Amino acid sequence: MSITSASRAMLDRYEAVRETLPGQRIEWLADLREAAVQSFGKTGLPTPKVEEWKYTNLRALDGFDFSETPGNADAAVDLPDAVGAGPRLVFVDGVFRDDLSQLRDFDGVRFTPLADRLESGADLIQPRLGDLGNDQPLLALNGAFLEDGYVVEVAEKAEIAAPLEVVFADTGGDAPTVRQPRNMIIAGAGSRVQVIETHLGAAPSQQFFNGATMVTVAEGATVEHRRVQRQGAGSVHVNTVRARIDSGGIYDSFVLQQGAAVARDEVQVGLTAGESVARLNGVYLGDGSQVLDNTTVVRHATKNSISEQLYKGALTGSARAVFQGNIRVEAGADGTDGRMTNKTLLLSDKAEIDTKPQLEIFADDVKCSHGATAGELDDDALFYLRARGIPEAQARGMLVEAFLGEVIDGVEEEPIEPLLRDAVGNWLAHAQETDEG
Amino acid sequence: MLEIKNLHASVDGKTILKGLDLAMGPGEVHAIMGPNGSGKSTLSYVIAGRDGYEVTEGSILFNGRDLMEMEPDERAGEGLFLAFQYPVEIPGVSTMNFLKTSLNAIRAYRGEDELDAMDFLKFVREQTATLNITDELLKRAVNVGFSGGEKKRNEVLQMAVLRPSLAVLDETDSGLDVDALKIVGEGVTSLRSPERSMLVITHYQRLLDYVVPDRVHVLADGKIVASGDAGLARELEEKGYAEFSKAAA
Ligand SMILES: Nc1ncnc2c1ncn2[C@@H]1O[C@H](COP(=O)(O)OP(=O)(O)OP(=O)(O)O)[C@@H](O)[C@H]1O
Ligand SMILES: [Mg+2]
Repeated sequence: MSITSASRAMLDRYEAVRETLPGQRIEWLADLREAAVQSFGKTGLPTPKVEEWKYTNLRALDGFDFSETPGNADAAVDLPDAVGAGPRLVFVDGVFRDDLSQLRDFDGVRFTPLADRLESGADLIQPRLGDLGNDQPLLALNGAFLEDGYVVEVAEKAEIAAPLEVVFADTGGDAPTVRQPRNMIIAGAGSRVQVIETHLGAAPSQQFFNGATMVTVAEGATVEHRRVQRQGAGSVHVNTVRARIDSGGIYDSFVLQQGAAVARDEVQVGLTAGESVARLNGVYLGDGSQVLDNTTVVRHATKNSISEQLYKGALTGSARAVFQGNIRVEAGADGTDGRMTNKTLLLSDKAEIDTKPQLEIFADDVKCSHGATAGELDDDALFYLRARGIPEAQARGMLVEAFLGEVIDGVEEEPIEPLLRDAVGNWLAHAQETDEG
Repeated sequence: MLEIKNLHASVDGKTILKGLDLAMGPGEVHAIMGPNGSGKSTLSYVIAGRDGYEVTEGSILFNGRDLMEMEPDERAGEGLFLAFQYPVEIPGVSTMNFLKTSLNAIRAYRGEDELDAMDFLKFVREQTATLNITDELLKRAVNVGFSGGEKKRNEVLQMAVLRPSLAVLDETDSGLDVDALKIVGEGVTSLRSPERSMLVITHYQRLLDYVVPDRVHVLADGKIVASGDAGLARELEEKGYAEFSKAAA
């Protein structure tokens, strides 16, 4: 099987930089990278021939010239205000920036760049880094180049009140850049934490972000994981999260997908012990010729576990969104409750949604459902608002906000709520300008 | 204030209004009655400016201005209000927010400042009290899960808040129980004023017992076929439309 030219470029690049990768002299790390690159080499990047990638094509990467690796270690960057009052780690062009980060000590949590922990935290880090596995090409690729990332480690029973923020910013130099952070969220039994990731790109230059995060939620712990994806317009963004949830644990994920030319947020959850819960929600806002993909895989492998998913988006221009949701209920996972809904507003004739919900059920006595709708704004509602004096653009905006409100209400009163409402408002204003222009 | 001349209108290529004339002065209340399908709601939508309702002939002047030249929201800004026969559900938009947004949009159209939140709340509470509308209802999404009667009372509330100079009420009395009819009837009557005209579309005398009309018109097959004083409504309720429909044919 032949691999794509971007895949070939990745392999060449690995050969060129492997000795300079952080922590390469740590033997287990070098081994991990080597195993990962071997795996990746067998398949290369996925193409639409692979079922899971049928609707989202990474061929844009073939047009990127990865031969240069611009060093941009102290680039200036416009950072957004912190979302909450917690500590913040900032990575600019893939490099951890102490000078821009706020590392405050909080009781019960260690929140550091991964590079800081490779040696000192090897006991904790080593087995978990490998947990992500090499079974998917993008995870393998991420493992091969394993650079920095963030590590959140919450002590048992610790309840962390302020959100932990991570910013991945790209300043956008002339040459294409590749960023492949690997992150870990480890929540001890009975603990509670919220992590907010923000992905930013300033310029329309070519960036390839391929992140991977391993989340482990111990018994009775709650992890809220928020991702705000606003990469630059020329980027390809793939972010894969694997979460393993122990008995009584809750993994609550919310993603806003707004940036990049092609983006995929993939969440894979294993509900492996009693009465655990996964809540996966997302909003996507697409315009121009963007492709925004949300893929979820939820495996119920225990009795009475619950998964709830709601993804809603609005698309204009010739944007396309993809929702692939897979719920698998293993034999013996009786009493499973799994629900998934995907709804899309198509605001232009050329906008499109490909939605593929899948239920695979091997247990008895389960409640599983999926629903998908796609449609235009309701003309009757629009006329009703206009008949009450509300100008057309404002009325349309109200209806789009109301539509997306159903998901955003799920993060009501969280620090990111105002950010999300602003994002929708600004996106709408921009979309309406482009429509008129 | 409203002058409709020789109005012809069609929907989806089908001609529904076939030469309708109607003139109303300021502060007047006119009733329109007529059989199902005669074009009453069509007339109300044409006046409000709904997409797809095409005026093929004739004219509508509102305070001397050509209504056809205006967008629906501009018409509302100019003081026109339609109480819908079938109020529309708007999931995700609270009734309170809806009222506030529309009032402020109309104020903005007229070059007036927005009402601040406190003043607005106070103003709305005054209106809801007489219409027996609870705060709980105001918090809910517009018309979603409202009973038929609640929807109709909500239409009257909007009229009370927006204070139009011409209100078209399309069967605002349909589907109401006796108590709700009283509330709606009294609510509408309390909004009657020398500056406010009303065009009341109804099938029954009962609303007209509250809001006694200056003129009553019979609409049949897209035309006004008879007009008279309040007595005509009572006559219609007794005798039905048969002889008027004949006249139209
Ligand atoms: N979109 C449409 N396409 C074709 N015919 C339509 C359309 N909308 C309305 N009509 C027809 O126009 C006619 C008038 O309808 P309209 O709703 O105005 O009647 P109405 O007088 O309000 O009746 P009712 O008393 O039942 O409310 C009816 O025959 C109706 O079927
Ligand atoms: Mg009607």
